Amino acid sequence: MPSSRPPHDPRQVSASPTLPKQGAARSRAFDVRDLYRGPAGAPATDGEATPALAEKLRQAYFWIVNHAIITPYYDLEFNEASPPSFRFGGAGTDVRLPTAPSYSSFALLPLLNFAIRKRCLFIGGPGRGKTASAILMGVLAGYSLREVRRGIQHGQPQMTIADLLGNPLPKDLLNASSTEDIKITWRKWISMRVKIVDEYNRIPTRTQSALLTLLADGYAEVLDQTLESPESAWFLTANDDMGGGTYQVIEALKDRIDIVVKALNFNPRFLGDLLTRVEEGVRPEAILPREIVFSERELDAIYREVLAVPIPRPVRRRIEFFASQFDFCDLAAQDVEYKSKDTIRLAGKTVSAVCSGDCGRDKVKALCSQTENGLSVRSLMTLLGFVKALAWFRGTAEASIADVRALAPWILHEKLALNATAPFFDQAQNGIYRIDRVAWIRRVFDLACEEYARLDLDRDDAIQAMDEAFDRGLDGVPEPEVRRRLDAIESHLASLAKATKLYAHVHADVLKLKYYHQRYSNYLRWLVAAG
Amino acid sequence: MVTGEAARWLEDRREELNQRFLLARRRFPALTPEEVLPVLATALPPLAEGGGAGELLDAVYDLVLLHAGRDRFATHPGLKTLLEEAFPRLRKLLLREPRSLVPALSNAVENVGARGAEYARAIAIVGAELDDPALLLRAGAVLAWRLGEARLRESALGEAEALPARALLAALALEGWPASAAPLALAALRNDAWQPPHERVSERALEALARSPEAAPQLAERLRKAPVPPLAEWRLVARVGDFSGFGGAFDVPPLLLEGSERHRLRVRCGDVWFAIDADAFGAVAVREPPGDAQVRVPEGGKGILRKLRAQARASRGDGCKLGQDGELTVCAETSRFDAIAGGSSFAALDGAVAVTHPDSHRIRVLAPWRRPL
Repeated sequence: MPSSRPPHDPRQVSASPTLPKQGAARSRAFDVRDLYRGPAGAPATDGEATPALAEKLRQAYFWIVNHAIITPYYDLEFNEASPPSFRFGGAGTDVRLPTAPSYSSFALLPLLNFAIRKRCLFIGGPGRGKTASAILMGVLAGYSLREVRRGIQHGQPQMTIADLLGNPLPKDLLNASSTEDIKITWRKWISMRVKIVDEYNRIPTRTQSALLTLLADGYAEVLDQTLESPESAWFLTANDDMGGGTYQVIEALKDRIDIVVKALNFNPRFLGDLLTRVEEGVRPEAILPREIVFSERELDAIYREVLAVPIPRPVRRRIEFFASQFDFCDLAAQDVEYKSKDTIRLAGKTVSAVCSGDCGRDKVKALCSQTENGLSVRSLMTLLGFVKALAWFRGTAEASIADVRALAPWILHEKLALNATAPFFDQAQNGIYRIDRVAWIRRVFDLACEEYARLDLDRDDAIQAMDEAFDRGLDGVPEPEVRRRLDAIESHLASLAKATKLYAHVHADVLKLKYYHQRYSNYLRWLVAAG
Repeated sequence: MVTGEAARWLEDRREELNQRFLLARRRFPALTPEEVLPVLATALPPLAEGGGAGELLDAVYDLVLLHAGRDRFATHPGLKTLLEEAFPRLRKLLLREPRSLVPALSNAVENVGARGAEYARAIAIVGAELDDPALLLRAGAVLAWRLGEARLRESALGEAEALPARALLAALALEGWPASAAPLALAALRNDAWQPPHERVSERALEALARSPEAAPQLAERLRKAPVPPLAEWRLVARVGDFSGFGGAFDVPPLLLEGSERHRLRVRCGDVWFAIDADAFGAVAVREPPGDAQVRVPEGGKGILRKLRAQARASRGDGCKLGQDGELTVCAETSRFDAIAGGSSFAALDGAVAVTHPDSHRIRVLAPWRRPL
């Protein structure tokens, strides 16, 4: 329940609604609750519902950006109309003024990660607020500052598995006749719902493996004893975004990172704010308002609400189209099933080497040439989860393409390996993408969407009808109908083969058509056998 | 000098409280310890005594920073009254829900404006009759209505139903009435909110009721069903609004507009339009967007008044007519009232009449006056 706070006190929470709808305020008559509303906070009167969880999370976001973290970057841009844009000379920079509420990735992405309990990696130079931001997430989960601080695992070269997970009792070690007799004193952080690992790239490789088990599978293991960890939001930090450091981060651990958040540099124009903090010893994490603390039950409810946000077919199709661009390589194999960059990697080759051969495509335009790898199932699941979470946070009824566009760079940041030798990057205006991975992924998404629109796939998608027919199930479909569908698949494959090369998205379509063909063929055989 | 429990609380939380002060001063640069400390020294000790008041002291500390930072103690003396007089008396209730009650009551004091101090003192009296924090807020709504927040009339009548008799009577400033008379106060206000309850029930009736509480339902029923008296017995029951220079809302004398209701008047002052909620306890004027409602002027005017009348000549079908000489016709009854002669506009209010005058910023309301039981 909100309480009395000076309006600009860092303990003040933004007034609800944080996303006001036009005209909503005028219609309501003066009411008892208005008597008790005012500068000293807006306590709920009898029977008034607690603020919705999305609203509470927005309040948390605004508290963080207004009072906790000096992050004057609104890089997650959303627009309701064409934004005013200003072009600056030099390298040629466009500055846009978003026309809809826009957000700072450094504040919002960790918050979404907190809300849907994923694994977030903060990257950026020292002193950029990575650990401070992670600590805030711990306090948001209701832990005291002391608990959060004690729960932080500080990566260092001597860190052992025992340091990370816990120790066997020495007495048990001496007296035990089997490992089951050994009692482990587990580290408390394992049972926390927010887990923070600072400088994870300084943890020795063996200890990283133990961390991987906990992070990926949700349990800790020492001497055959295991401890289950609750659903947790993870926050890891690294000074080097490539995962370097004292130790190379093992691939499996890197692969488990769901989202990457870049700690941006400090804007010297805000030195005044910094000075005040220095002079007054302000520590926002110590005075986080209780109104924006989330209970375990609330976090569970948030997760359920987020999962319920629909991703409409046009958005899903664009994600499919975008995702289909990366794994495909026509030169990787003879059979359609193996035309994957995995085939190249398993052969010990690189895409840059294979792609230098002629496949009959314009290598500047073909998006497949830009990456060394494709998107994993895990990446796509993460993308879908975060897209839902962002739409939910923004208060929209369903996910939009703008949500995908905003998030894709941060989720795929560590997942898509750029093929720096691709001709695309040799174009004068594209060289920057070899350095700016966020802009590159966003650009690739835009290019994929442009191609999708050019092909008019929203309206002209022959497979949509097949999807719908198949989704209705095979039970009861009569033999003539099955044969008609098989004919339709074969006809469509024939027309595709005649009209187009095997582009990446066509490859995905072809594989799906082949899949349907098999399912219908098997069903037909069963129908015929059953008489 | 703060001593006892309060001193201990301040000492234990010294570092954090100092930081909160610094944070507040960051946004209220004029905030000084000299403004905050005297208020804390008075407000905290009576709340701290007895122990277990950490959260309450916490809420009050924040409130003091807020109002000192906004310099509201000078402009809203009711806030100090609330902190220094009311909160100690309400301690028992505040301890149960400090995080909601403290800011809520502070906001209420600010929202009732000039009568904030009166609200603060009265809520302490009302609170003494209650042991449920939620009921305190309900009673606070009735109290705010009684102090002139007419927009709360309907809500307050609803809230009043849930209140213990003594608390309700205290909120309506009827502490001298026996508890059994509480339903009478409500019945009177529901029957006609232009006549206050103390004019509807005589001392003799109250004495009788004190002796025979079982008669209350019957008396309440009589109040509820009291017939409308003849027009000749109507009285001037209220003067609503005032000149902006005297704390009112009107820069120029107002004109009543069509569409006014029994407790909601619609007026315009030049180009500014207002909706005014009004009853026996007071009135609140709120600006509203201009519309196309017309002014209704009394018969027999000259010049511009005649023109306006011509605009609004269409029959209203409400059987109400007012002459320049103060002759009022309502439902075929006619009577003359000097108080409303020479009006510039008038409005039929469903059983009452409102009249404006060209030389006054106040709207006069004429309504039935019923003799006390």
